[in-house]
Amino acid sequence: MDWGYIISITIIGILVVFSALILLVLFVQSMGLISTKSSNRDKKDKDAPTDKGPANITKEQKPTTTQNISPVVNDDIDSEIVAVITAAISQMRLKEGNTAGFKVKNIARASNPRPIWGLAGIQENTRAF
Amino acid sequence: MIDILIETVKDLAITSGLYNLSWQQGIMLAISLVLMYLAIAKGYEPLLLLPIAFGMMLTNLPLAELYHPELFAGTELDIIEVVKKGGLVDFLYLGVKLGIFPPLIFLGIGCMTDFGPLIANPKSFLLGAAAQFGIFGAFLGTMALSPLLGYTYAEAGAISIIGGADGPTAIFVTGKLASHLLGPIAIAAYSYMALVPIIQPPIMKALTTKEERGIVMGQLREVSKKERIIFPILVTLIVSLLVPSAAILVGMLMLGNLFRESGVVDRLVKTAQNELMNIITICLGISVGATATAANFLSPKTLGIVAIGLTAFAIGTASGVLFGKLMCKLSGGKINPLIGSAGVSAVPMAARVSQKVASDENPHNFLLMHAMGPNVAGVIGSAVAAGVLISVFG
Repeated sequence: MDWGYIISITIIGILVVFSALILLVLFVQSMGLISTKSSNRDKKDKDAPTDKGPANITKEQKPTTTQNISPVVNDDIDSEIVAVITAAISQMRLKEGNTAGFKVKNIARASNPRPIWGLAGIQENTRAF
Repeated sequence: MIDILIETVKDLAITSGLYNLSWQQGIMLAISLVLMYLAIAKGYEPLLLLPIAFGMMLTNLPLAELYHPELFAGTELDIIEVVKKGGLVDFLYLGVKLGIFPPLIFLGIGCMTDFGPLIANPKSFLLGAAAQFGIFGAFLGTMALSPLLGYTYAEAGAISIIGGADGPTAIFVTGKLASHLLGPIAIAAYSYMALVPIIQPPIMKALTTKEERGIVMGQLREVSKKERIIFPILVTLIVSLLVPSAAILVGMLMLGNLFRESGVVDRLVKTAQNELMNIITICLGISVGATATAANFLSPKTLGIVAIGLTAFAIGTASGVLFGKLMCKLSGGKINPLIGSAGVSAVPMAARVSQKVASDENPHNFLLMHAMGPNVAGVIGSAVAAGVLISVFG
């Protein structure tokens, strides 16, 4: 039994595994960078030429309404979603017996943005133990 | 008249299996029953352990001669001889001996695997590589035991692949390097894979601090369809150009994944991940179990395989976690070292264990998707290690 041979096989084996996977890290990382850049460029191109998003609608609607509409929450959030969130808050406040009016000034994602169904899926998948 | 009757009954008794049952075969039948119990009652990798255990029972039935090891004993395989003398089990075993079944299983696995977490965080590849220390540590351990148990280099290579915690890879390498050890190696590999939730947590907890286990990792970025399609082609090209002997394993895994991600061959995906995979699993299980004859299995070498297999799993887990700690330090505490243990493959069990140990510390910590990266990287890593072992000892 030749221990020199055994150790050299071990070292070569580890080196080959690491070099193959390091190469993959480099290639996949560059692929990710290229993809992120091109998707950002696509997004910019989409946003740039027309400005008919929900922000525009709220600007147009503002002067016609007599109600005190809350400031524009976020251009990225659809006005329907803002309405749904506002309705949900209103319903919760009513349940608590709070009938006072309120304004939605800002809608921000919570620190843990995992959807409830994703949460349920993870719990289901890890329940075996 | 009575004499003839007695003689006939005597002849029948002599040719019965019960009369010819050796104590070794008795032990093997008992082991097969225990394995069946573990598969059915305890749910230990039942899809493979159950056909393996039943194949083991069939092959050890006296006088049944379902499997003929002598047909596969030499270095050259005589197919004509197999056709002339072989039966069902011998024909099924050709799928293992010629390395047909494991790559087809990999095709199905590729169809079922989401490489998204790995593409989103390519550094996970390093954790998948680190866990392969289990394979090479086991190789050193096997060679250290060699003066005692008489392992050859090829046998040591086959045994050490248990550390990859990847059943099809273990069977593929053993079929190529030391097919006579196929039974004990496959059984050890699948048993330890089923025991991952018991083997890994104590090692993971011993090597990490409470603070490290509590690290919450940021959400992974979204991976585009284009990246998902390019990934399998890229991996196949890089790995196959570097380690050609791993081409068939990695190639089939990635072909399955390309089927899945391309979205244009749904029928093939359905077949590969269901019907084909199930048929191959049955054939593979029976034929691997059938190689576990008393002569092959009941030897001190098997005990060595059981011990080395456990050590390999422990080394793989520990090296993954330790590399995870290193990456945690280098990233400024952004990586939870627990995901390193998932690098030992055993998909998706090892990733689930990472999730479980992390959630024990903080129930709101969800590491599962982060652990899936090293987990699937481990499959690629162990296939590369398998390629190295085959090209050196094959």
